[in-house]
Parts: sequence; C-alpha cells; structure tokens
Amino acid sequence: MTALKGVWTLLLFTSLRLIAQERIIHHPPIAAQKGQNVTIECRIEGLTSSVRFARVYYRESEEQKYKFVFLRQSAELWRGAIPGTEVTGDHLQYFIAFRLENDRLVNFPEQEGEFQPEEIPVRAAAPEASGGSLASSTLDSPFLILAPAPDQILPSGEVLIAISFARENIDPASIALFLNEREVTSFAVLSEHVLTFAPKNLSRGAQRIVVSAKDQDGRQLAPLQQMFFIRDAAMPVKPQLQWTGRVYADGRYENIGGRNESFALTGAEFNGRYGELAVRGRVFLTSLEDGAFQPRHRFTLAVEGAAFTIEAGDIYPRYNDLIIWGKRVRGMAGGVKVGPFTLDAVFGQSYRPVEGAIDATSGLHRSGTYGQNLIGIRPGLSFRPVRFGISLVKIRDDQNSISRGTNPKDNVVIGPDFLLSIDRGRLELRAQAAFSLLTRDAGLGVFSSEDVDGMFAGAVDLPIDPKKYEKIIIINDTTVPLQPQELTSCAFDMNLKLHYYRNLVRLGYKRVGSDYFSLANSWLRKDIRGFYLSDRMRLFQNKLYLTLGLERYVDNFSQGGTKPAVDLNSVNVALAYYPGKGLPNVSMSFRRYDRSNGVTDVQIDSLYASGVDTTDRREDSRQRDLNIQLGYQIQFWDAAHYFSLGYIAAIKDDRYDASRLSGYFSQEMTSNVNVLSWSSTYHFPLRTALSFSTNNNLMGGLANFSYYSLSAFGEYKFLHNRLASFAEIRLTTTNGTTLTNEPIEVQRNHLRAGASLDLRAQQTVTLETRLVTYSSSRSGAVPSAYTDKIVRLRYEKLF
Amino acid sequence: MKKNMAIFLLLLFGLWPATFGQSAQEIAVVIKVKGIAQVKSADGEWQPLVNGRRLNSGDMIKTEEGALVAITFTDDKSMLKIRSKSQIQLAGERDDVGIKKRLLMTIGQVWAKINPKGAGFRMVTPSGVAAVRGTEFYTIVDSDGKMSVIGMTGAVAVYNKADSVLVTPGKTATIERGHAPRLTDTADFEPWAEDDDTADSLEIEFKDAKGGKKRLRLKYQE
Repeated sequence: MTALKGVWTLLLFTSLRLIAQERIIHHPPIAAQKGQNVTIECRIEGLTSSVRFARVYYRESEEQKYKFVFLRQSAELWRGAIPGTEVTGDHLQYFIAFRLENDRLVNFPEQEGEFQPEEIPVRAAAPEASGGSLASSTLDSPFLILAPAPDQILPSGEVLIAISFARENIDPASIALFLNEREVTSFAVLSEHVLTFAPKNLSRGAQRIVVSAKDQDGRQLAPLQQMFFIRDAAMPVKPQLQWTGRVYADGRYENIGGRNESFALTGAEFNGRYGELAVRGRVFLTSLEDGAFQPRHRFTLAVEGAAFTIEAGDIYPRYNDLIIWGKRVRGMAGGVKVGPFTLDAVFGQSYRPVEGAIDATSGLHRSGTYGQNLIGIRPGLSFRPVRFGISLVKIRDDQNSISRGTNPKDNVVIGPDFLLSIDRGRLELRAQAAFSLLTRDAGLGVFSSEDVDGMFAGAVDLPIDPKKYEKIIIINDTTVPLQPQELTSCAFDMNLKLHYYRNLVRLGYKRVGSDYFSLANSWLRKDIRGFYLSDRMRLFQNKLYLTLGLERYVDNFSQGGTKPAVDLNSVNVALAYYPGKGLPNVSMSFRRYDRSNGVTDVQIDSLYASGVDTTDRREDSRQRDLNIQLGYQIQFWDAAHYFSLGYIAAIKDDRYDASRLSGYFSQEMTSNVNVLSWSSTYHFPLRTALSFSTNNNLMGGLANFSYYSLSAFGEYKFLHNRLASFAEIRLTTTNGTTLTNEPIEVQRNHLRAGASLDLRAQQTVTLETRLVTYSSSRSGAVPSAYTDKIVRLRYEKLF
Repeated sequence: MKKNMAIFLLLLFGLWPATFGQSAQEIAVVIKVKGIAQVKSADGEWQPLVNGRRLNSGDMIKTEEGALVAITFTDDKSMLKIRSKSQIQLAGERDDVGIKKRLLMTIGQVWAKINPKGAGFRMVTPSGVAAVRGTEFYTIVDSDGKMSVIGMTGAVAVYNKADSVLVTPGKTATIERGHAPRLTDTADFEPWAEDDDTADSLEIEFKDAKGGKKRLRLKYQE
C-alpha cells in the first residue's frame, strides 16, 4: 500500500509534464563534406521556459562516444558547427539537446536521440555551393552585399562580409553563406536584417562569396555571388587556440517540508583546439560533496591528437557495450593508434570507499562500500573496412579500503568486438561478445581445486586450479559460473545496419546469459534473448519521418529458479511530419507491448501445515501507448504563435484479470492525457505561453483519479533584451478515489518567477524563485498541506 | 491561491504597457574601423566600435585622433566614412521604399555616398541641413558649429532658416551659425575617402566553369 501511495504521489507530480510542449524543428543536412564544418541549425518552438543551453552531440558512425559543441542563438535560429576536423568518416551521427531552465530536456530526434541519432553521409567531393544558377547582380535578389564592394581589393586582415536581406521575402533560417565553396554560415552573425562574417587568414587572390536562401514557402531562391580580392598573402597560418565553453555558478536555498537547506555548485566546461590537438575539460563542484557518499564533484581533462587520446579525471570509457559502456571511472585513460594497431586502456576507481557505521541509536550495522578498482584494456586492429578489438576489464573491490563491508566482489570480463563497414558506411555489420566471471564474495578467499571438489562432491569440474589465477580473479564457491563451459555467463549482440534509399534499417540479435555480469555495465539486462528490427525513413526532403520497430525477446529464458520464461513482444510505429513554415506539423507514435509467460494455472503450494498458499504466476498482458501531437505556427497580432495539441493514451489489459484471486492488485490501467498549449513570440520582446491539460486515470479497476492543470508563462525583455523577466504559474487540481474507495482531492500550485540579466561579454545572471503550495483532503504519510520555497541564483558565462 | 494568482497577473500583465515602446531599428552596419572609435546606443554606454557592429536608429559614434569608420546602410548600401575627431548620431525609419536616413553631426568630417534609389538622406548640423538624394559629398563641422559641404558628384541642397543653396561638383557651401549659406568654388581640399583603398599590383588565377585556368594581372597606384 505504501508503495502504491508513492507511485500515486509520483504520478501526481510528473504525469502532466510528460508531454513536451517544446519541439525542435530541424532539417538535417542532406550530406556533409569531408574535412568541412557541418552547420547544424534548428529552432525550438512552443518554449515554456528559457533555454539554459543547447548542444549538438555528434560522432562518426564508427565511434562509441559522443562529443558536443554548443549551439548559439542568432535571431530565432540556433546554430552550431561540427568541426571539419571531426568529419572524417563515412557517416556522421548527431542529435540535438536543449536543456531548459525548468529542467526539461528537449531532444531531436525526439525519441531516444542518443540511441537513434540522425545520420548523414559524408562525401569526399565538394558539394554544390547552392542550387540553381548564380546571380552576380542584385536585381530582384532579396540580398544586398554591403561589403566588400564588387571586385574590391583588400588586405587580408580587413575583410568583413556584410549582407543585408529583405526579411519579408525569405526564410531567415534557410540563409546559407559560402566563401570559396565552403559553407561558413555557422561562423556568421545573423541579426534582424544583416548577416556578417569576418574571415581570417584568407590567402592572396580571388575570393568568392555565395549567399543563398529559400523563400517563406520553402522554394530555393537564386543564389547571389560576388568576387573580391586579397592583395597581400596572409601570414603563414599559425595554430591558434580556438575554444568554446562556459563557466557557471549556481546557488540554491530551499525550504522543503519546513526544512531549510542550501547548496551551491559551480563548474566549467570547454572544448578547444590548437592545430591538430583537441582539448576538452570539465569541472563540476558542489557543496553536496560528502565523503559518506560517492563523489559528486566531477573533473575531466582530455587531450586528443591524430593518433592518441589522453583523459584524466572522471572518465566514461566505452569499448564494448556488453562490457564497459559509460561507467564513471576516476583515473586515467588513453588510446594510441599506430598504423592499423590501436590500444586503449583505462584504470582508476569506479567506486570510492565509504566506511560502514553502527547506528548509535538502533545499534544496527550499516555496511560500507568498498573502494572498487577498474582496469580495462582493448588492443585492436583498424583498417578499412574492418575494425576488431578485444576488451578485457577487471574490477575488484579493495577489501582493505574499509573495515565494515560485506561481500566484496571480483569480476573479470573479456570479449571481442567486430565491425565491418562497407559501401561508404551504408552497410555495417557489428558483432560483440563477452564472457564474465564474478565472485560475489571475494572475502571468502580463494579455493583450491581440492576445496571445490570437497564442497561440490565432484559435481563441479573446474578446468583450472584457482590458486594459480588468484591475481586475476579470486575463485571460490560464490563464483559464477563455476562451470564456464555451460556458457551461462556469455553474452553476445550482433546487428546489421543498412542505410539505403533514405531508409536506416537496423536488425539485430541479442543474448545475455543468466550468469553474465559486468560490474562496468551493471545495468545490462540479463537472462534475455531475442531480436530487434527497426527502419527509419526520411521522405519528402526530410519533411516526413516514419519509424517502424519490432522487438521479440524472451526474458528469463534460462528459466532459472522458479520463474517461467516471459515472451516480450513490442511493435512501434512513429510518424513525424514537418512540412515547413505556415503548415501544421504532426507527430504520432503507437507502441504495443505484449508480455506472456505461457502459465495458465494458479500454482497452489502446501506451505503450511494449517493450510495452503497460492502463487499466481500467470502473465498475459498487452499495453498500448498512443501519442499524437499537432503543432501549428501562425502569424497574427504582429506575433508568431505556436499552437500545440497533444493526446496520449495508455491502456494495459490483463487477460487473467477477471480470474485473479482476491488480494491481487490488478495490473490493468487506463490513462488519457490531453494538452492544449499556445505560445507566442511578439515583435517586441515578449513571449507568452498558456497550457491546459487533463489527465484521467483508472488503475486496477479501483483507483480513479483525474488531474487538471492550467499553466501560464510570460517572459519580457527590457534594456535592449538584456534583462529578461519571467513568471510561470501552474495550477493543478486532482480528484478521485483511492484503491480503498476513499475520496481524495489535492490542490497543487506552483509559481515560478525571476529575471535573467545579460551582462556584457556573454555573461548571464539569473535569479529564480519557486513557491509550491500543496493541500490534500487526505491525511497520512504525505502531509496534508505544505508550502515549499526555492530561491536560486545562477551565473553563467559563455566563451 | 488567490494571492499567487494576483502576483502572477501583476508580473505578467504589468509588463504590457512597456510593450508598446518601439524597439530599436537596425539600419546600418559598420564595415571598417581604423583606430579608436566608440558607439553608444540610445540608453547605453560608450563601447568600442568594431567591424560588423549593427547600428540602430539613435546610435551615436565618436572617433578619436587618427581613426576612420566606414558604415553602410542596410537598405540601399549608402555609405558614410567618418574621419577622426568626429561625433555623429544616426537615425532612420523604415518605410516601403527603404530607410529614411538622418545624420546629426556635431563635429568632425564625414564623407557620404548616397544611393539615388534610396528613401532619402538628411545631414543635420548646428548651423544647417544638407538634403540629399543620390550624390557624393563631404561635410565638415568645426568646433564653432560652422558647416562646410563639398560637392563631389550630383547635387546637395544646403539650407538653414536664412536661405538655401545647391552644391554641385567643384562647389562648397559654408554656413556659420545664424548666417545664410555661402557658395564658393572648392579650393584646397584633398578628398580622403578613397585613401584607404589604395593597393599595389596583383596577379590572380581563376578557374572557369570548365576548370580551365586563367590569369589576370591588375595594376593600381600605391
């Protein structure tokens, strides 16, 4: 019951935030050019809060880890450039992420951006600067090249390209500027009527500017070109340190449930480049750092050259997603590449020691956390079209790191990974496998072969003498598997990617054994096997996205213990249509999950002399999720308005619901969410957003409750847009009945208000206050009424 | 609840009156800065002027000794070059034709090349006004407010309350405060606006549409 209460409360606070009103509108480039910057542009619609930061995460399709660059705002557009030095493979994958001040994260692609990123081909040949014929006069062109003058001769250090445009005739988001066939739009500054760009280090001779755009209806306009000349040779290009990043400090005072708390955090992150060297770093410090818990501070410094990488601090190695995939390790990591040979290594601490304690009042023993050391190595071969490597990761709890701990673990995992990438990366075959050994309690020490024989009376035939391998892994009776030849601790994953005719097809098979365990990837689901198939189609000039997905897995396929195997089947269909300005965009998705374990009878156990107990293991359920969103941008009242209508329905049916025994909590559930929002951006610096939503839920056929939420947001900028004041109010009313048929009514009001001052040199100071009042007709574990107050002060500087 | 609502409404709708204020209009862009020059927006502080800076209606510019600033208007490419020790204020209003431009000049020297297809240009000084529609001319204002307009091409109407004259190439109009304009032949004036564009020789290699190479040698004065 208590757990249900928690779920209920969680639903109350989160369910209405499930529908993101914000949407990133982005049309991926058709292709990238090798060695050239890739400009990523987007705009975000339906904003109900300010943007804290925006990033584009990118990687080559063969890479495991993402890097990122910041997107910067220029008029209503957000732009960033993936450095050309990083565009070397056959395909480039990326996704866009906006972090809003209300802590909401908005992604593009909307679903699983990190796992299903956009992918564009990288071409070796120079692309057409722009479509259509080039005009060199200004006749009928929406552009006017203000500077340089036609055929003007200039010293290399004094070039400024300035182009004005007739805003009413073009879509500013489509403006593209090319200098000598290289797109430089992302380096340009775009304002209301003018685009400027100051190129550096131009070589002596002729230079060509081309500027292109589309009209408001999406039709390509004739590009405009102009020549100018550089009279002196640019100085030899010396490596220059180029860097972007931000520093920030955040202080927060909270009065939650009558308790006062305050904490502060500060940090900095940067990406830099000096010639061939790429440098990135991150520092995050918080007053919540406490030796009694795992580290909350973060430090990272990484230097990357053409043939090597060195990282220090908190690092997140990714070698093979069955073995080590994003686990935080505080230590060092590096990689070298010599010809076709590669070697990656990491060592450090994945958990720091936290001493256990005995509670002075209760006398209970609280077990501590052992310091956990991780060493990983991956020698490999990389020559097109093949990449191959073997990862070996060893993790061992340091038994001497604390005095009050239980079950120190020892883990070794080894496995190969393989990639075949042909036809310029359009066809990729990946395979990876892993084998693990885990000792659940290394504190028992290592056993000899005789110990094992004695303990298992010959039932276990160890192929090795454990004493000889003590330094690699401590083997005793808690080691799984003791008989590796049964392959219960093996895992493998094989998938095929086909990227043809605007279809991105992925087909894979995965199997993870019941005893497979990697402490460097402990969240990997075990005892499961099955296949997955998906196809993402981009149609009609990337305006229509259609995604189809099918998954069929068997959970608990080893049928270890008393659990039966469960068939998990899911079907996913998603469609998104972004026809362009002036037309509504639509996205809808449907997902169906089926779970069935084939058990048809209730199990009756004679557990007690006085009677019987029953166990109902029958499972045969279907869940259907439907999500439809409509968005429409329209101009009236001298403002751009964005209307959004959302509908989410979730229905879960249990085939055996009617025959469940009393006392069984029904799994059936129905939920319907409707959201209507209206956000507006005026020609003067005002943004507003109104949103109304309802949510009706029926859980287990008993609890029936509904939410109604009304929210309003306003932001107005003063002092030439340097001071932004904002306020948001969200009123939520809930009523219904609980599982015990008890009526309930809850009122929650959330007020958020503050201001953000844009200081000079890209510095911002934000003050935000939040007030939450809660009142409930119900008494119990959750207080029936409370008021929470939060004050937050934040400073940020971009550079 | 009612209190919260009242606070919000106050915050949200209390802002409305301020929204009726006219936002600044971007009318020109700085395309060259040599030496030290500063800009001040209508309600801001003096800041260093840099290439690419957008200029809004109401922005003021001042130049230090040895400085030169070139700006161009975004609608018709009309250009101004502001010489050292000058102070001006720009104003402009967009209409269907383009930007109606006004330049308030308190001291210094300005060269102006105004596009005849533009929406019009007026230069206002303490002693008089120069009204222009398509011409090239220099204006000098000294510390006493004395204004001189030197015609290079086209014609400039120069006037104050007392009288008006038409300045043509080779002529100079002079107005002292409180006096009628006086028209004389231009003497002892060295045009300076083109000085910064001098260059030496240059050889350029082109590729034509078919990929063929062509060379062009340009000669010009130092």
